[in-house]
Amino acid sequence: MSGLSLKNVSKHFGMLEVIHDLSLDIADGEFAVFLGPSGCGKSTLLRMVAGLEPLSGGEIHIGGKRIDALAPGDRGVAMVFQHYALYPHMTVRQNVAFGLRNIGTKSDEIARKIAAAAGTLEIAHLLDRKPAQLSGGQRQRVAIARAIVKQPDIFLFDEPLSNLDAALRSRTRIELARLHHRLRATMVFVTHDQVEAMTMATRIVVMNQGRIEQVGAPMEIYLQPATRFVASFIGSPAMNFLAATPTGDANGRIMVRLADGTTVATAIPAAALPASGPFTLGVRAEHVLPGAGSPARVDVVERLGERTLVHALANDGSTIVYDEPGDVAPAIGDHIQLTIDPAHVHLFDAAGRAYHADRIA
Amino acid sequence: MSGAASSGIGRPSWANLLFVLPYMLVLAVLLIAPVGLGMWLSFQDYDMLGGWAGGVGFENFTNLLNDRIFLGTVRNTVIFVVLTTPAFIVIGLFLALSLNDRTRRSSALRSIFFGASVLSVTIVTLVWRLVYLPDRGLLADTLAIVGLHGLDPVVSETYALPAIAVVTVWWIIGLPMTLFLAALQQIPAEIYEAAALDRTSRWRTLLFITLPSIRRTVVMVAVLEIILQFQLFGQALLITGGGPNNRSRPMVQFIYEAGFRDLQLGFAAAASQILFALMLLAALAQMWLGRRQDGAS
Repeated sequence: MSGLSLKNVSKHFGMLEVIHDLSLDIADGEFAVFLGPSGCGKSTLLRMVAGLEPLSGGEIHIGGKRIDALAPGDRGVAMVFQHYALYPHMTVRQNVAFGLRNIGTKSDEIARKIAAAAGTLEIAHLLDRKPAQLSGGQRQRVAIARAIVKQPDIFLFDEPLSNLDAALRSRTRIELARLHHRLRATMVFVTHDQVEAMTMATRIVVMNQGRIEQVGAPMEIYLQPATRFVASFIGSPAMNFLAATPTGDANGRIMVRLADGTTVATAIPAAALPASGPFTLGVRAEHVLPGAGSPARVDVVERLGERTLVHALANDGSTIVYDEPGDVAPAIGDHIQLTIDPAHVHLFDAAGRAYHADRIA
Repeated sequence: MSGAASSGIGRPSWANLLFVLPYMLVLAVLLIAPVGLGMWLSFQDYDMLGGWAGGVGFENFTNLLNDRIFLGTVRNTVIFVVLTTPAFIVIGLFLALSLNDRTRRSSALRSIFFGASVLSVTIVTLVWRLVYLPDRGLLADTLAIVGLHGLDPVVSETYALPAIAVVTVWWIIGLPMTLFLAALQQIPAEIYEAAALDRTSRWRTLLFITLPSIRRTVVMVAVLEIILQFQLFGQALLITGGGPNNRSRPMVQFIYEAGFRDLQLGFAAAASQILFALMLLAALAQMWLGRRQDGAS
């Protein structure tokens, strides 16, 4: 089977360490997404798997076989590049066939594989064109076709959707998910776009500054972010963060007081929390409820169509974002009252570590 | 929307002519007029001492085509172009491929290879005279070590022209190398990475990725070198003086001698027209070949 296993992998460029002692296992058939901001090391990590970047330390195994000393072409991986990297002077057919010719595949088998891939990706009518005659989306399909015909153990995608327009990006997302389902191949996808990660991944690897912050299924990461970084990076709008001071517990659940004086009786077990230190309360927009509660004033209203985001200023000056369905939102300057749903709040300690309520089914 | 229609964009305006006028004037006075004058001269009997003796039709040309020395210079010049142009492409490309990295060693070598290009022809030929010096030159000394004696290229009918070709390539290999380096650096690194993932051998990478990517530069270098090397003059004049037995005499030297030594301007102008036609033909053929490959691949 063709799972991917990274063991204590590290990478430095001179004095600058970009990957710190990273270990990760990706099972056969998984669609793993490396997600993180620019410069977090996700692309470097992918390029290390591909063999385009040497390791400074550690091991990489594919299907149980150590591959980090092998040449890129001998690793059983195929890569789709951000800028497609098609050979500009070759036709689509030649582009797709090139890798197969290099390993001495017979012409009739090449033709058969190209026909199959062209059918899957609907590029049969483009086979005799050059890359310059294709649109961005078509080039993307050719790049994927070039990867598919090699029947690799692992597909690597390096931000392949970032050059497409919004409509094409969402369509390609769906097609990639469909392709993964059909091929049942192991895929590793790098992106800084949390929507891409949430919609396609079977498992998301959230990275920050060369380290893994959290590995988990999309909803697991959304509902129970392991750190404040993950909580702020996943979800749109970003989670609200408010300074909170513990005031005791009720039935073993911690109670906190916010800067504006509001007390929130959370569902987080008090025993899990460290004894002291500053805390931050995190709550997503959908768990801030308008109606009765602490007073606030509407500052900005963002209408997204199916819902409206309202940015409100609490008494202490902190901003809280909540959402309203449709277009039933207050006007800027309106005085409103907000309640935080205590069952869905998270607490973060000074180091950014998260504490959650027990999972609600 | 009359505003957009009358904005003047896309319509010719005589005021624009003012901007190109200075250049056009210089071009007309220093290039177009002399070329026209040269063409006119080639059909005249014009002697610098005797003055103009009227038109002679194609007589200068028929005289040239019956002049064995002139035909010899045509042959020499064509051989010289055939010797040097492929060498400029192959060696220039080889150097560019070898030195296309960011190491200090490559950067130093690039400077050294380009360095010779800034030397004047007199210095270059002086240096190579020392190499080619019969019996005592570097070449003679080196060959003597392996037991070869008496191979003195500058006095050999067979080796005089190749010896000048070697000097020329050594002298100005820097330009093709630099042009190839610039072209190589335009190839995106991602394409080589894709090729590496496609298990492309080094040889196939050169053949199927690098060369097709710089094909236009190869054509450009070829055309440039054909035009430049057809104008061979200084090296031949200073190393061999055109000898021995006219075997290294190039067309430009013939034109120079006919015009400025023998003062036969009409005759020299006719020879110039033939040189011009040869250069034009060779450059057009090269460009046509390049374009045909463009369409075929």
